[in-house]
Amino acid sequence: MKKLSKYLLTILVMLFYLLATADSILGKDTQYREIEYDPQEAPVMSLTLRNLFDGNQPYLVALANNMMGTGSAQLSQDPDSVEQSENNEIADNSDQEQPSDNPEQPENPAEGENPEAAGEALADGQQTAENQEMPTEDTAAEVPVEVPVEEQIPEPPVYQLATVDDDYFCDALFIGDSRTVGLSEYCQELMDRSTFYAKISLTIYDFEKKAFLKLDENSEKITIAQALEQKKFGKIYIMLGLNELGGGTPESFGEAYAGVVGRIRELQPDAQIYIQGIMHVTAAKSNNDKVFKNERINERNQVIAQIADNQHVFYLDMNEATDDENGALTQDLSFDNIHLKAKSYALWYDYLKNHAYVIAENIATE
Amino acid sequence: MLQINANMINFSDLSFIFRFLPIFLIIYYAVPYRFRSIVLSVGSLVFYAIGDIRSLGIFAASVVVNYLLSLQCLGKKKKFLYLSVLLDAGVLMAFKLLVQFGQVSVLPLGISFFTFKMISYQADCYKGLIKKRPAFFSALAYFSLFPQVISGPIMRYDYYEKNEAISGKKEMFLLFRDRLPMYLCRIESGLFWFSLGFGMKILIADYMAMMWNEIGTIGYESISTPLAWLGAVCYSLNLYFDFWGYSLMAAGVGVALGFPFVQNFNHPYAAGSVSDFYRRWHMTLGSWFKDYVYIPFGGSKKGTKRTAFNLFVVWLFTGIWHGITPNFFIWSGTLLLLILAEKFVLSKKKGLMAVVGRINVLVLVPLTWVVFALSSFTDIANYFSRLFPFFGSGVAVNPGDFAKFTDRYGVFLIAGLVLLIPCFFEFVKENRKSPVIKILIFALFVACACISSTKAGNPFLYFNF
Repeated sequence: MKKLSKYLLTILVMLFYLLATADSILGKDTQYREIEYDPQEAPVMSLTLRNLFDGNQPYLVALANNMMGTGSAQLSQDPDSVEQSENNEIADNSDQEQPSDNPEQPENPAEGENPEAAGEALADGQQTAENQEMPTEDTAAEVPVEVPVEEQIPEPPVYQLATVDDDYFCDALFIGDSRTVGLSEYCQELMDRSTFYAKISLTIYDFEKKAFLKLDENSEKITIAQALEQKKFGKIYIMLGLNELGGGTPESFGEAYAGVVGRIRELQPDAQIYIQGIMHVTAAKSNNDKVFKNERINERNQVIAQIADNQHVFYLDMNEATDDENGALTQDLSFDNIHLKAKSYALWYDYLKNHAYVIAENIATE
Repeated sequence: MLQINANMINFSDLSFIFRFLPIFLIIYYAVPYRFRSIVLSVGSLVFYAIGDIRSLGIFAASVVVNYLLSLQCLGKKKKFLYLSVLLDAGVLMAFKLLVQFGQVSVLPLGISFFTFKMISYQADCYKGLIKKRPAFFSALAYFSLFPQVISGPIMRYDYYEKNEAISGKKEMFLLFRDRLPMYLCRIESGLFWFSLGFGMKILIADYMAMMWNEIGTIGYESISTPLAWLGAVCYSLNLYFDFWGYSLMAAGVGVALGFPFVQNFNHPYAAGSVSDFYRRWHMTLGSWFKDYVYIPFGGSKKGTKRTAFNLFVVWLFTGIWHGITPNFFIWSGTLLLLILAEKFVLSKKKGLMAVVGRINVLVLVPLTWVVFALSSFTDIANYFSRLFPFFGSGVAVNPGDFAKFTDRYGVFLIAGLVLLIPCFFEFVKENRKSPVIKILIFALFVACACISSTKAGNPFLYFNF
């Protein structure tokens, strides 16, 4: 016993190494199949460790539980759906934007429940695309959109780009990831007037899944979808997509996005939805990173732009306010190559003020 | 061709802990002691190649040239001592300038550290502290020692000679099964120190680094004054635990290999004066400057003016060693002034010294770290104008930022601040043989391994020196 205690640390570490490696090898094709793993980057035991970090049981423990018939432990857990512990929250929040682990899972109930809404959004988008191919004098907004037969709305209002004042944003909602969080902290005009449903590393897939909003002190955390059932907005701005760059295709991303827009249209039929193109990263980042590249961002922006119908759903690209001559985020405006500095959010706000879609006849009266 | 992950040289990376290290230890202890300096050399060169293959040639050339020159120094030829010191310091300086002017993107791995090892080796040969000509593989192993090559500790050659696994002192006539307990004992001790360092790096330093990075992202002109002060604390804690953590991990690996434990930090923030602080901070660098610069120049034995001059020389070189952008000179210059003030003015009044000394350590030193951290004058000006907001109220400041940061990072800040008090660490150290402590340390190790598995690795700050 004394001998055991003398080498206790060494023995424990060796056991840990062996068990974790065995666990990873055995669970590699089942419980851990979703975890991205490159054998050149890390030893195989990292699968077990990452799984543990997310708060899940190791494969062998789940296996043992199953064999003994105890508990409702599932053999293959979806790492995505488990409640995250405090530590994870901090790590999550503190990390810079990370490519999401499971982009291939557009588990969007919106698609199943409301094929019409999603289809409508896409159909509108396609029709707008057709319209946009025809040369127009001004913006596409001036081309009247062809309305699908089911709608039967008489003479839709025509929207035009206009400059608005600060109060335009009094009934606005901003949905987004850490860049929108920055907007919520450093744009005084918006802080005073608008609502923000934004979180670091938020993705389009989190719309229905991630419960992080507390509408008041005593309530539980709810998802954005649930929050939209409770409070009505006049305009809803969305900027998401940076965290999804690491997985999926522009098309799968576009589908998920369209699904979310369709869902919002359902929940808030009177709101104007502004799809904001994903903000660029600096050239320094784009040229040196495998995932965060402006080419990818542009690809995805092109896809989500198609969702706009200029009736209820509009597309804005604020990058013209912050880009350099080469189409990347101007280096001076950022410290970490991804986020704007506090004082640079004013540029984004100014862009939004100068690019609001307002019903044409209302412009004369403003 | 198999692409080996360069992160393997980062001690807190899983591929170092669970791939490189176990394989190396097995080979190291499997071979007879006579071959261990070769195994250590080869392993260290492989380690170096993984980290920086392009500089391997420069490193190898440095080793060969220094070894040859050292033969002359052993023969008491002063000219060769000067030549080798000039060459070594010159190469280091040349690379620093090349990086500064953009000709080279990064310094060769560990150059600031192995250069100093080489200079000390030459001086020790000349002074007769190294009596016999060491075998080439011993010198090579000493210079390339993988637990020390990246960022120190800066050890002298006599430390290398004290390795019993290499000299074979205790195991010459023993069978493997009798040697094994000795090896396990060393690994056990090594794991203890390594885990402590691992914990400091992963649980404190890395989060402080994230926090400091977020502060930079906001923009130094846009942080509130409370956040500016919190930021100074955050950066100081980051630097301390990152470096102390690395040093403990390095010492732990060294101990596992049979080297004596090396102390690089001795609770600097418990110091009573800035002078004392720098006797407890990066101790191996401090003692290097003392033995190879301060004392050869006369130390404090040649009168007040000469002492002040000697201190100036030491701090000038310290500044240059850390970096050649102007902020490093402001940093070391400020410290020099504080030390001179303490030594020649404050020391006359014991009572005042006790109070002012502490303020110097707990308030002024963190402020000097802010200067150390920021290489652009604009950044320094912005930061200090937020620390001391007498000239304006900043641009686009969010008054809620302090609450947000304490909310998110409070736990880690508190852990760091608590560990500044020596008694906690000393308690664990004194009770390191207790099974309860060992189990807690193991739990710490597992937690850190799990967190480390999710990161690409947060490279040690001193990598760039």
